[in-house]
Amino acid sequence: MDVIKEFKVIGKRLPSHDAVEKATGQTKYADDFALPGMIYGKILRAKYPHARIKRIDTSKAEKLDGVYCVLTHKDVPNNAIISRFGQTRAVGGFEGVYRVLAEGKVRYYGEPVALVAAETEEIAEKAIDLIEVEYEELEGVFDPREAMDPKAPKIEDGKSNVVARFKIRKGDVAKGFAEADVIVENEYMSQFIDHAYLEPEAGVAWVEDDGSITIRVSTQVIEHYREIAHVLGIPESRVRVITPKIGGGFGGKEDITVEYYLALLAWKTGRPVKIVQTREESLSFRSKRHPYKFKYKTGVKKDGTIVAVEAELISDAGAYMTLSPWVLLYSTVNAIGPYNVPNVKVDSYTVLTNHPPSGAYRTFGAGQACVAYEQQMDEVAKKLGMDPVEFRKKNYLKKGDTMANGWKIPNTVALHETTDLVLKYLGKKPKPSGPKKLVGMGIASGMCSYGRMIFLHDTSRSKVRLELDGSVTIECGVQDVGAGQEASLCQIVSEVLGVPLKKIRIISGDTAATPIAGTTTATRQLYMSGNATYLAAMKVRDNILTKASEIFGVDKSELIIEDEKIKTKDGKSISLRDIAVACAADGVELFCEAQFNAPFGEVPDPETGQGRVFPDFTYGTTGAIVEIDTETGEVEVKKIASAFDVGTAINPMRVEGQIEGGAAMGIGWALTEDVKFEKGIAKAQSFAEYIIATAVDVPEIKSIIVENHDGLGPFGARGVGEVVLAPVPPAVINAVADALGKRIKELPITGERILLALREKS
Amino acid sequence: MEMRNLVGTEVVVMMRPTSVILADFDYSAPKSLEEALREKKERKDAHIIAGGTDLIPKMRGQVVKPVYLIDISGIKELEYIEERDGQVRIGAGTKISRIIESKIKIDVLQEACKKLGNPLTRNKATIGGNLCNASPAADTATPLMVLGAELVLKSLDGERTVPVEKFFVGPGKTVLRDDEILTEIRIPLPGKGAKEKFVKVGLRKADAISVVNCAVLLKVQNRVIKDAKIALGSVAPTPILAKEAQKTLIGNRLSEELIEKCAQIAAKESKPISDVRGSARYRELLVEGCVKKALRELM
Ligand SMILES: Cc1cc2nc3c(=O)[nH]c(=O)nc-3n(C[C@H](O)[C@H](O)[C@H](O)COP(=O)(O)OP(=O)(O)OC[C@H]3O[C@@H](n4cnc5c(N)ncnc54)[C@H](O)[C@@H]3O)c2cc1C
Repeated sequence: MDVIKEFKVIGKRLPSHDAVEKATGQTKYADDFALPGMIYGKILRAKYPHARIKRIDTSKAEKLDGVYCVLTHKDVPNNAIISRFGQTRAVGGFEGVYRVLAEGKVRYYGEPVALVAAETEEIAEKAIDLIEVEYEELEGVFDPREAMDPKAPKIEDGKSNVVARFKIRKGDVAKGFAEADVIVENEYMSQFIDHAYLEPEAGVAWVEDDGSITIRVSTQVIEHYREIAHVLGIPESRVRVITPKIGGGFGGKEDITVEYYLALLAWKTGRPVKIVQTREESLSFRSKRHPYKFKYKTGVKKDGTIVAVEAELISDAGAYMTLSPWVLLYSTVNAIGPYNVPNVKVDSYTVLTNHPPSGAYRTFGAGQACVAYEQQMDEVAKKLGMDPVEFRKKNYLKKGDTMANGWKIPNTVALHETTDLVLKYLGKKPKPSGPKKLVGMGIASGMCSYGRMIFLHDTSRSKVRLELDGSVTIECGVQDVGAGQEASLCQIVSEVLGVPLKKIRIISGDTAATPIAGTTTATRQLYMSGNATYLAAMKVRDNILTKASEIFGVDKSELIIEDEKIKTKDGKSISLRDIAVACAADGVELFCEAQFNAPFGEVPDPETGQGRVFPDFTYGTTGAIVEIDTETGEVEVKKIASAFDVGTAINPMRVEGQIEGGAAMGIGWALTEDVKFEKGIAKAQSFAEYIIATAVDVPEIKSIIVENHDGLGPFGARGVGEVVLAPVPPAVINAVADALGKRIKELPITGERILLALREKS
Repeated sequence: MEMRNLVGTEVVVMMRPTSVILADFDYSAPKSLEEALREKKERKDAHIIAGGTDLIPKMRGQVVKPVYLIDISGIKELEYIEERDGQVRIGAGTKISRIIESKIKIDVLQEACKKLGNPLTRNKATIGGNLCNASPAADTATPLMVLGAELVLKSLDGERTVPVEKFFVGPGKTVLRDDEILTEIRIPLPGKGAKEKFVKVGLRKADAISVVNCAVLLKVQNRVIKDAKIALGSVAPTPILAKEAQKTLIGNRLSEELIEKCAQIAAKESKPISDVRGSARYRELLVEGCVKKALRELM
């Protein structure tokens, strides 16, 4: 496909078109938007983690001056809905019922029970306090292992709490363990963490003149317009979702956030309605990263060859199933990590509890698996008395190997390279900076798919149009979460059509105006919409080259496009503007809407988990150096180096941005972040208690880009958005374990846990 | 809906943090201290607001529902740092960032101020607000305690001075009367031979409330400790002086063994509780660690 050999734009450090606009505060995020006559919506939330609703009385709230409407489940045309995530193909068995507003009972503390719309935010807040709800408290269950017990309270009445279960069976683990010289068994845990995006969930909805609904909302998935239409009981064509630039998503805006509430309130009142969730609402009640309980058993030969791995994964799905089975499938496929293991047995379960629904979070379950398998790799190396790097290198997957799910890897796995680069940068483990200090060094490798699970039959569409003055318009339904989804498409078109970035405009994220491009999730936009945009631009390129070849009387292959001109080898040229005018005069199409289809496949065999699940993976390595203060337990991360084979870096600055962001996020995951649910109630309710790393907690980060140019994205790119996080937490955790000489298997590894562990030792 | 939010060892019950402040209150912004004192006398139910960095979050959380706010942030005569009569005098309305930048050196206080919150907070927060908020974790309290500072409390009817360690009564509670305003902090110059140190442990390097903080001041002559002050924050209902630990130091020379002993006694003197930031046990261990660190720095 790649006829373009020498890149002029791809791979260049070009600032994004929206960088200045963002840096100067011009960007209008969801909350920066208002309409005349706009009113405000608020949500009444459950006071108990598990309770029957005996009675809801909204009369006092309705009578309050300035209140437009108060809604409960009775007012929602279709209150029980199944979340589908815009995939083009519905697959049974993965979807659970979700309720827009609590009906019959509440399943988690903070579950939305009623909605209010009022003239001002103050009135809406006061009205919320006037709604009376009578509850009968039910026994709750807050531990997924306990929730698996058939006698445990049921979240969905009459149904098992275990909502999905997967298996992987490869080879014969019994035989494998019999051959092993050393067997290592461990349990690990990962905690509830929050996306902590700068922009909480927010949006404005209004009713159009023709009676249809428009919702301008911060979302990673504009295609939820279909479910919104279903909830309202109106045709999909009558709901439009627009996403402005998003102030961070990380998976937290993959599920519906405030869309239903906005749509219902606008629909009932006829007025534009705004909802902005508070930080406390976002932290306490919105979806979180699934906590996991892991059991690992690894069998190895004396020389370090892994012969068998058996793993059990249990995730806490929270009170509604939402995306949990899919997240679990990711964890399951990733459970072994980037290692070649002949005998594998994985059993995984996701279980309902009375916590807020867990959801998508950067790496979608692959990161949790990486936290477990990379700790286990270090533990096994230690037991073997082998250097953890050598042990990894002995077992890294390579091209041609088969993964646990039987998929034969067709392209490069550059883990030896990424490991060496990281180690080279980290250098020797430094001496402690003073007495009462311990230094540790750790590495971890990880992998993460890009593109959605192939049984979803994922597609993306994009449109490219050459204007008559030689400028270009792109229309593509991507949601730009701030990672430069738009900017990369611009850069691709700039390369293909020889148009400078400043002459390219992109219109994105609007279900009524842009071709549907699917979700900005699963590290899929560069891969999917990048390819769709490339295809569209190549078609336009072909049309204008054909025209130019007629004009110059030379073959198309003799022509090159650069600097807004089509040039012949003997120095003749025509400007894009003139060629556009010439094409228009002859009715040659100057636009193309192209669709890119990912590889299509089937759901893997449920009994063995054998079958390809993803289009491809990105692999990489992180190394960390930490220093621990033995008198306070404080950890200082001194250095982070991360290397990933990104195939081709469309823009190295953006790749580095992702690697650095992943590092900062990973430090928080490993060391400080914890929502701390206690009987279903979050103890960390604001950023004063939910501790994310600040600028001074994040050390120097070395971002290392490896390019083997054999990814499935445009120009051989692979996805980077999620994988850059995966190996960071285990690298930091392994560094802490190295410093301490013992492992704390519960996350986060807080100063408190460290100090108590140090005291135990002495 | 009640939400429990724990600030230091102070337990604040957040009713329901709202996007807007629900309390209906009257507001005035007096331009002089005199005017403010008059208003405070007339409206005993009034809340003073200075930088608002403690009060506003509490108002959003419906923990405090003021009916009247007297905004003293515009009163210039409350913002100063000066040296007079062997004392450093700081106006209660002085911003934390200004204390950090001051050429008049009060090392232990300035160190603490540098570790308070983040740059934005420090540009709004006042030293008076930090003290009157009376959080056991207040970062300026322990330095002022070891310095032997006094607070000037004024009302229309007169003024009184209170040693800072007598100012705090409990979490959020002080000896301030309804009609009084804290106007000035007076710090005796530590004098020659005095060495000070502030150590803070938060849950991260910046923008973190103290899990434990500790200020130490030693007066040393010929390597013998003549006077010692050790103040501990976030380990009891108010910041405290570790009096027994102080005693172990006086008359002795600093050594590893003495430091060890002193730190252990300090840990025993603390009465921490468990909260969202750490368990009581962790805090005890931290007291030991912080005291050791501070003393070792002064060796
Ligand atoms: C993000 C953030 C981080 C923070 N980090 C820290 C930290 O690390 N360490 C720390 O100690 N604190 C921290 N705080 C708390 C707060 O910033 C400080 O306590 C600050 O010094 C309070 O000062 P203020 O002027 O804002 O007080 P305000 O909020 O205006 O007032 C606080 C209280 O004191 C009363 N008051 C104020 N001035 C007077 C006066 N002159 N006379 C009588 N009563 C008065 C008010 O009525 C109110 O009850 C943080 C706050 C935030 C928002």
